[in-house]
Amino acid sequence: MWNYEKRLQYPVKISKPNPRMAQVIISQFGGPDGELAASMRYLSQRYSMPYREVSGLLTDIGTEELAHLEIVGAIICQLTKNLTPEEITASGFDKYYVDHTTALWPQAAGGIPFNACEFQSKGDAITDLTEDLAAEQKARTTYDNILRLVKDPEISDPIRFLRAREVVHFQRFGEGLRMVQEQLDSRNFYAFNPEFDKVKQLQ
Amino acid sequence: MNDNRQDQLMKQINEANFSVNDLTLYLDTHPEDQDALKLFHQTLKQKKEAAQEYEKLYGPLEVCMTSEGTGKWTWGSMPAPWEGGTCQCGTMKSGSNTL
Repeated sequence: MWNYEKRLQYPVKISKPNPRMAQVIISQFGGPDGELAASMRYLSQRYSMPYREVSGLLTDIGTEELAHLEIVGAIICQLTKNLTPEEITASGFDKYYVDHTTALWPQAAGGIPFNACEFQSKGDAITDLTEDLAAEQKARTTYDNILRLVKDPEISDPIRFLRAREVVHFQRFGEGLRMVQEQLDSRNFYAFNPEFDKVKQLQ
Repeated sequence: MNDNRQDQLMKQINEANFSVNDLTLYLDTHPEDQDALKLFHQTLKQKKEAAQEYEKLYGPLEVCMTSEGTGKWTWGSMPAPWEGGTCQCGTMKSGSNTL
């Protein structure tokens, strides 16, 4: 189960609102490669993972992604304070504002709502870990894209932290995949699915 | 002066706990690494000590750290973590009433 600590994993102190950047950064809140997708992916995959060390890794990384979701939420919250109607219209934030005011709602920057179809929990140890490796790279690329657009160091500071964590998670999932492979037949890793088959089914 | 001490303690907590978080993931895939294990326990201890001092002065960061004897429920009115910069929450003028 989860406990909650009333602090952010990394501080966010943004003194200058910027609704245009908020519109972009919201993709890491509710977008296809964002922190909500990441946490739901790993926290869903862990139940059928038969190796305790790897399901433990999925729980721990999934939990950290929830903390990152919170950091992204804090960034957007601070970027959308004290806005005038003119600023809202000029920045393009008006399309989000009309439906949500300045509340947080999981969607991508382009408007697509968060959707479970944006992640998989496939029930095959190799497949799920491969999905996770890809997810971390997609998140890293998204942060790279954000960093090209951000000028304000108060915004780029926590973004850089989040980006660095994606790279570390990628490393850990790679190690998790190797741990799974060590449990399987090295002549054929796909001979059976350790999450489902009791004996070799496929040749 | 109080703010400086609070910021200082929070910085210590953040740094020590980041080490704990990072080492948790590392130890998940390297469970036999003695150096990592040692550093984990070291920084966990640092985090607990800084958090305990923070709690005494500024209130609990986790609900289970709430001290008895103050006669007040402080957990609910601790600042939200996303406050800062332009974001500020206020406290409710009156608690909710069911009567």
